[in-house]
Amino acid sequence: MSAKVRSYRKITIRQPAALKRKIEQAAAKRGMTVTSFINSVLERVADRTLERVRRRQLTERDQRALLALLSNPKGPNAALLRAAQRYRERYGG
Amino acid sequence: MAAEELRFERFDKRRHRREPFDCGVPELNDYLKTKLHQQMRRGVTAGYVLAASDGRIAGYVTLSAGELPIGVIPAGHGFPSVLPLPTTLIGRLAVDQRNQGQGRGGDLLVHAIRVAVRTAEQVASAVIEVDALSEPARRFYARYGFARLPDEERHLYLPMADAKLLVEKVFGPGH
Repeated sequence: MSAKVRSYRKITIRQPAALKRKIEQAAAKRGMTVTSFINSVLERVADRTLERVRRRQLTERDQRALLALLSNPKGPNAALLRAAQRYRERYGG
Repeated sequence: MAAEELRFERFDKRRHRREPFDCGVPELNDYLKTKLHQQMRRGVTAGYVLAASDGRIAGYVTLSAGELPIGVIPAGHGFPSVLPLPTTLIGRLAVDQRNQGQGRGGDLLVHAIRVAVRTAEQVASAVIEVDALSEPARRFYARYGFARLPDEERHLYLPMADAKLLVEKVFGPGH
């Protein structure tokens, strides 16, 4: 985790005894406390989830920019053309 | 180093050796070794590898169909007014460390574009999109002309029209 933490809040969660044991073992294996282990895992998953949500909902500005891009394609750039020509030389048509 | 004969093939765990693959990013190694086969079986992803004759994998790239919700379309642009815009999503792209610095990433990208264009002729797709997972990945796609949108830094787009033009120009009308 990055910035210095100023305050803490609690989440109370219950899990099956077997899962709790498993989490404790995994945390111990990483040399972490159960709390920091859970936090690090959940933060990663939360980031990924938020990322996914954000991507599925383009801002209005992005929607317009995307449509403009699709309405006026500029053609492949020089680097992409070179890459495709090399591909053809390497692997055939 | 003598040039090793590599070719593009659809990933097949019986023929391709996943274990030695190491691109330097654990997440991308694990994906190839533990998830790709299953996701292909489930119809979630299509995986293509650049492989040596002994099955060693020099790189891989994955493709899926995607969609983008669009709700701001003005009339008369040829887009339906309410639609998810059909897309082709490049999921992951990785090159084994032994093959880095040979332009193989570009090869994998061109292969993905070729497959995308061929597929879009039968099942429409308006744009190729990619989630760049890191800054070097973002620069990689940007170099080949993938464009970003103002509010999304890490997501990049190549119009299918440009992809089609590229393939026709370099590989001919029949691709």
